[in-house]
Amino acid sequence: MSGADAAGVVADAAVEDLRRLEVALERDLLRILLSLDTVPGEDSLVRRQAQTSAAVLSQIRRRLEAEGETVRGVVGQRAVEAVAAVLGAPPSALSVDARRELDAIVNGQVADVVAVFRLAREEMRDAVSRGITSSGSLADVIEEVRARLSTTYVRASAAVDAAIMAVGRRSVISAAREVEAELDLVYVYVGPRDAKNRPFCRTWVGKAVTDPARLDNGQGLPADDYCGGYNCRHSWAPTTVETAVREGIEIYRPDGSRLIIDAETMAMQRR
Amino acid sequence: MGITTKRSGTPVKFDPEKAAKVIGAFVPGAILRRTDQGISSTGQAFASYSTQYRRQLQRMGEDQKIDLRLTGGLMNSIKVRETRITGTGVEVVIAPDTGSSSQVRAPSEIRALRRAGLVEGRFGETGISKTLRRGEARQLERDLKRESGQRQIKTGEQGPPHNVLGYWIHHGTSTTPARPFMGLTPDQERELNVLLGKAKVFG
Repeated sequence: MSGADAAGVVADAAVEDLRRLEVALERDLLRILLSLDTVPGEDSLVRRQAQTSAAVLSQIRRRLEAEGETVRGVVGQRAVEAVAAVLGAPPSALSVDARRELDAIVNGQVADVVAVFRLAREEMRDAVSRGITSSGSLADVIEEVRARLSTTYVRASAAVDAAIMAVGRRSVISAAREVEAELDLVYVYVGPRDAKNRPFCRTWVGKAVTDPARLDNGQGLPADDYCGGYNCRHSWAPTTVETAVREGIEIYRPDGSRLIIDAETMAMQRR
Repeated sequence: MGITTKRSGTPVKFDPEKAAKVIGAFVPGAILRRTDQGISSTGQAFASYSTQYRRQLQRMGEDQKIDLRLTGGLMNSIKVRETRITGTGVEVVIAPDTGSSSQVRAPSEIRALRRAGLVEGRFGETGISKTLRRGEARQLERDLKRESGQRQIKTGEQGPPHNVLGYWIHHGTSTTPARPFMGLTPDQERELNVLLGKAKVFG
């Protein structure tokens, strides 16, 4: 199993870890919230808000902070395993630079997942705070916390999924970069063309570029690794200029200007 | 009786590392581009998707072309997995990896109604008259909101490993036709040979 391959398996394990953490966190948060309802005859948050809201908020805050630490630890550990898998798999066709780039993607995965939990902590604190200080029922607060928790884990899983795909794309592009100039390679943006396309994908699908790393997908993520962003279904396919020209694929430079090469020029170059 | 052979002339120089680099740079891209065009590794068009799957793609707002992509996980996992350089040649293994992708499905309000026990039958053809308890009604409301609020739903499960999924697609199963996508067409092989020559792999 190559390094990049093993990284995918480790990322799968990270998704499993996240799922287990989600179940445990949901159970704990519900236990904290249900403690509001322990006094007989009092099922409304409004009646008990004065005595309990501060205590409940503080318990939830502590639990979410602890969760952030746990997630950082678990995902961090998985990332270390992924990096070890990437580095310790001889023989590999990838150069040292390419391996370093793969490490950066896997490390980026940790940062992304931790950021997701930081955001969730804020969102859940706000949701609970709003529920307790307004006239909402306990069921509404629980529902809101559940929904936010579910969103958090979907986001975290998306970050892990995106990292797996980015590792795959990076392996293909790194292998091509090593002989790019010698073989006259460009990168064709392949994948579906439908209503779900982001503007970046709609612009580039079916076209080729000379350097995808210099494109901006507007998501703050490198376009060569993540294409249009998280959950993007597209790929970069290294292709010779000659094939691209023969198949009528338009080739662009990173500044957006079109590289005009026709079949006749190609034939002259070959001669 | 022994056989004696005699070699003459200059032996051909072969640069296996360079060959591995050229193969690794060209083949994954060639597979991705050809598959995207709906063409199999035999050069024929892929077998078409079933009507049911096409309908599902449509409900998800997906492109219905036969490009073997849903989340893109399988195609994005195709890469050089192993390179073996021997005294006489080079072997480069290019395949999907062993990771997996999140499973997704088309949204279905019938599914939510079935979960609440309000319909029966595969397509929800039998309506059931039933009074829901408060908790059940809330659950139904949540499920309906989820099923109608997005184009595609993550089931929470991971799909089969990409290499297993790739094998099923490439060779077909008892219920799906083979759609061979790994490998090169004769034209692509010729192109690879030209590139090996251009990179001066031989001498």
